[in-house]
Amino acid sequence: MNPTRWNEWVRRQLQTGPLEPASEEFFEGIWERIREQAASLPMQGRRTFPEDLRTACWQTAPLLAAALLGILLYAWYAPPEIHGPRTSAMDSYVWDAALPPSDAALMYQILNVEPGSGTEAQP
Amino acid sequence: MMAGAEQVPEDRDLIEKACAGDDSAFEALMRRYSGQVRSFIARFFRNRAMVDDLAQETFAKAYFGLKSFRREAALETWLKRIALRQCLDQMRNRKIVTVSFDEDARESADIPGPFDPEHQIKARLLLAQIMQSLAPLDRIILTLHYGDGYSGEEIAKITGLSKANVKVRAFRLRQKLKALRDGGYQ
Repeated sequence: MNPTRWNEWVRRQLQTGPLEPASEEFFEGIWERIREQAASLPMQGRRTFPEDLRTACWQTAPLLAAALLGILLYAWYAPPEIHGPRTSAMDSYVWDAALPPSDAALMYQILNVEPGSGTEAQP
Repeated sequence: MMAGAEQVPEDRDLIEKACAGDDSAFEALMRRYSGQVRSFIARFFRNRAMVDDLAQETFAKAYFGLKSFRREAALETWLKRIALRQCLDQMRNRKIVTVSFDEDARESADIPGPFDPEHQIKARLLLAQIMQSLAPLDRIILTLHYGDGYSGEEIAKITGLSKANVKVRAFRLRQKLKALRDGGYQ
């Protein structure tokens, strides 16, 4: 079967006839809808919602950045009695949890680290 | 340059003005694109009242969303994208088959072509079956691609799908149409 003719046939099947131009009622209907929808909006400022959101983001961004910086500084400089030993607890926790005891011991040995201390063993 | 030739305002200027609250600028945009939007919707719905209803809703949505319109795409594409969403909602809600096979359509569709009249009717019914079995988005892709010759890129822009996704969907649709052509579609 000829594919070109076939495609033409499908195209004709899927096509619609020409549309008559839009009437004035069509455009009036749009304005009517716009008025209705505008009236049903809870606030007058609804149309500018994206702008409001953007402004709000810009206003709160410095505050959020300052808070984040504060948390980071605190985490870094806080004395050990507050946050505990910096690395050892985490290291041993992760290794001990992830590996069977024999493998963990081997890992400590390979990396030349004292179990639970998080510090390098002295040679 | 022709003396006294009326300067047609560009879309960009009209959009700026409309965003600043000038409704006459939006009216001008509506009149400029009403034909394209209505024709686009008419590809999926034959009922003229429904076409106008969906086109009006499209422009109303465009009015409230114009400020969020990013100027990277053409306004026409953006409007078609809104219209497409309306069409999809309508299809999902009412489960409408987008191809009707009334007598007028049949006559206009008859071309000296692949089938004799009897087979054309059969093929038409099978095509309707295919359309009915498709997801609304695939129906739209089929209509745009095969009915109107939209490229994959154009369809991707309007539907918001990736080009690769459109390609895959179009390929599957082509397979179905091929099966119909060869008489193997059940």
